[in-house]
Amino acid sequence: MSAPATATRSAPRKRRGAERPVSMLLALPLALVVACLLLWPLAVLGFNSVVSQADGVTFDNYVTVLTSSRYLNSFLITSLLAAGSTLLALLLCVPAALYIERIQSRASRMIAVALTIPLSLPGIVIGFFVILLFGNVGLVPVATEEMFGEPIGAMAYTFTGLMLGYLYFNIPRVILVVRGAVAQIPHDTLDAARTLGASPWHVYQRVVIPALRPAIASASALSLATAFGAYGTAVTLSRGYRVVPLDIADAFTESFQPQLAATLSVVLAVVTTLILVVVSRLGERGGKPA
Amino acid sequence: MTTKTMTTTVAADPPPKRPSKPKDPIIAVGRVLAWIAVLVCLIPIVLILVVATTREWRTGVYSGGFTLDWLIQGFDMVAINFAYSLQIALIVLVLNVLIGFPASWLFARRRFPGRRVAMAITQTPLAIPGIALAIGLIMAYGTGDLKRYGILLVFGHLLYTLPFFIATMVPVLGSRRLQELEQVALTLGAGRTRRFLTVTVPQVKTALLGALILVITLSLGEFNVSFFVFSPTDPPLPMELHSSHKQDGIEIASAVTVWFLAFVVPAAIVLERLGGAKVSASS
Amino acid sequence: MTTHATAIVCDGLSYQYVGSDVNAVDDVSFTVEPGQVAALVGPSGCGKSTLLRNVAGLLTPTAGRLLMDGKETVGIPADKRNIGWVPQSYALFGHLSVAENVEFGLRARKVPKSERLERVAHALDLCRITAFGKRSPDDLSGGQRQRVAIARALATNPRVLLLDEPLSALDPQLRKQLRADLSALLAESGVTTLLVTHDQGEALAMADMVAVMRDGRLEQYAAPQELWAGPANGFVAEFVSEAHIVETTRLDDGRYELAPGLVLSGANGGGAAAVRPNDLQISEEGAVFTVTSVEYAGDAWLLTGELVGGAKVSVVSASAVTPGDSVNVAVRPQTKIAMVEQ
Repeated sequence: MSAPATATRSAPRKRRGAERPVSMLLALPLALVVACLLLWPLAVLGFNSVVSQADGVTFDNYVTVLTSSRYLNSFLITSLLAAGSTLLALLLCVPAALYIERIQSRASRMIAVALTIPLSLPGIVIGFFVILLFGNVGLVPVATEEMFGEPIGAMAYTFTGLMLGYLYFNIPRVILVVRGAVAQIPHDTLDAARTLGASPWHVYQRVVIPALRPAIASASALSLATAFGAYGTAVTLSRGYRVVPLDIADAFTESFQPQLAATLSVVLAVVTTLILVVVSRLGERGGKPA
Repeated sequence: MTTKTMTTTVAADPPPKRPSKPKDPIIAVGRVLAWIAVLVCLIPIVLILVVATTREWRTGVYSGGFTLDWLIQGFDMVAINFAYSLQIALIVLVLNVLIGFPASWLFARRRFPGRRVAMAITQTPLAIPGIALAIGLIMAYGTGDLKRYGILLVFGHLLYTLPFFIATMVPVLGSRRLQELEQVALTLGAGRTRRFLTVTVPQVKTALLGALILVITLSLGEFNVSFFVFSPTDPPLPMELHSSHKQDGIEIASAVTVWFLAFVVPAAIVLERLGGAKVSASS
Repeated sequence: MTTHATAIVCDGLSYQYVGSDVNAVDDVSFTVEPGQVAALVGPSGCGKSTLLRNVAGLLTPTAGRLLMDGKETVGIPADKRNIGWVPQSYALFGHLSVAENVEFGLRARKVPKSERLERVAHALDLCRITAFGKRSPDDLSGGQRQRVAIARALATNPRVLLLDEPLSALDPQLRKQLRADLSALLAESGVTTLLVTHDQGEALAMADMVAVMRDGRLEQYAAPQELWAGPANGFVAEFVSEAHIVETTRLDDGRYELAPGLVLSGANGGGAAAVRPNDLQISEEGAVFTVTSVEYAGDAWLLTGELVGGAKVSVVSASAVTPGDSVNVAVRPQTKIAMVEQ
């Protein structure tokens, strides 16, 4: 870090200059963690994806990943799951978040608590939930068999089952981000818009949605990124439908192709980071709300 | 049980303070959707309790009667993993405070060149898939002692909890109110240490407690990174859940998961009471 | 309460925020005599709060000297200055009781417990909040919170008391009452006080000396009566006495007039006149005044409009006038209109 500017705006300080380098030391532990646990492993990952002991520097792995129909198909399925579950979560959670923050009642606070629970649940537990409901001996098939003599809804291991699992872990993420933004909209603004004769729809179109756009974008970004990287839910529910994290795990642990695993990881990391950056930008600049 | 509480609370719903705001279609729809989301989130949790206490699930709800056998058996299966996971979580928690607190303070109070970039980098583990970082960690540090002693596991958890810890603490430490309180303490003659201990810490302790609970629950449930870096001799709790889900009967798998939820769900409720988790996705 | 009071001297004090290329406080010099109450007044953004923070030691001046008791104070950190600072929000410690808030500075100074309790009791008593000692500050009203903040600042026997907008967080109805209370309290404590306000009425009512600031600069530093009678310039006159500045015209006989028919008495110098609402009255003769707006002020009406010739002025009137109507106005008897530089 270069020598920082001489003073801060209003922080309490004694002698100028004297404590500045010392206070920068406070970031040293974090800088070490970021360098050793984040940047260095990512660099090694990148290195391994292009260097093999046999061939030296080679981009063969990238060619393999980007041309094989198997991996392209995995990327397609992962994208569909991520986009679909994000869209569903937005449709469900944006109005729900508006309700929770705008109507401060006992019920809405209880809802708020209930909806944050899934945030702490690992993917495998969420996958297991789907199995409990829609697996071969899940609640829905068992109950329907009892009622109609024939099991219905055993879809845990289908695309729909995966989608439900992904939706489950995206709900708290969207709720948290959007709730924070709704809380920032002053009640006065909305009331003022209403007194100007605007219909509720008009208020949403002109006031609420524009105010929420950055939050909707950042909720989408977070939700998409989580879905692209989801491993636990996929490993529990995926039979036939391949998602990229499963391909990476297979390449790494089962077929012993660490270079290929590294390549897939790099591609996936680049894709998610790009999505995160682009979608967040959409919220900041004037683009359409996601 | 859930349906009953639901209808009563909905009926008692019209808020006392602002009764004259009835015709807002989005809020009305939002209420319905909020309850649907609650059902989606809670039904599996209720269901898993039912399955874990049903003697023979395959033949129906509570067929063969109610039993605690599965829960007792499940507890014996995961007690060791639970203790290990808790130990890892506590180490991760201490590291979060030691590393994250000073850094959060710096981000909140100083405007230095590169501050925004530095903050964005600390949030990147949220963007990069866990599996990619896990493989990166393995490739960088190998499968030797670091993995065997669970150090790599601690590293992985640290990487995934720090962004949440920092995102929670930066706005709290940066609040104008807190800074003004510290300035008053300064003019009253309080030195650096006294200001920190008698003003800063008491003022941020609720948020800090929330951040720490979040760190513990995230660490206890972490799977994506852990799966690749844990030491096979000491599997953390989610690994044991995973193998139970794969191998055991649905009742025992449920019972094992109930023990996990028994810790995580109350923690999530306390967390929300303390002001909720902060999630930041913009990088 | 204080045995001896301290003088504050600002000598060419300037402060510039990092990243800004103008001085937020620009070459300000004035002296507050021991035991005096001085008010820093000016429109928002004029640098008055920044100046106060410089005196408190929360900001370090980029140039100039600050003397307390005749000693250079710029290098002394805020916690060693022995000052009492009361911010606009009062910044009470919500995790401590009222008494513990007041005790805070004494603990920081490691005052022995028995003396501490005595001094806390004294400060609570001085500020009339003894009854609230065990309460949380969060449970108090705005006026009570203000007193806790002042008691906390006074408990350490500070050399100077610095109040940033002490009344602005209160309800307007309460403000006048608490203004009188605060003045009495400051007089009783005898501590040298520097207070910041955007309300010129507050400054005139409470302070022994008033510093009028604009754009970081000190426009005038004077006692309230002096400020009223002899504003240094048009800005001070407008800000302090709600005057309108009117260019005068020299007549052949050497006298000056504001407008045709409105001649100033006496040998007032040329330039601009600061015409206050009370300087003029409706009369049979004088200049034609076209009323554009009328404000009812309880015991009188405040008419605002234009003199013939276009100069804008306000006039206090005992009777109502319909906007758009014209009346004649003349200078009120025994009134001296202040002349100012533009």
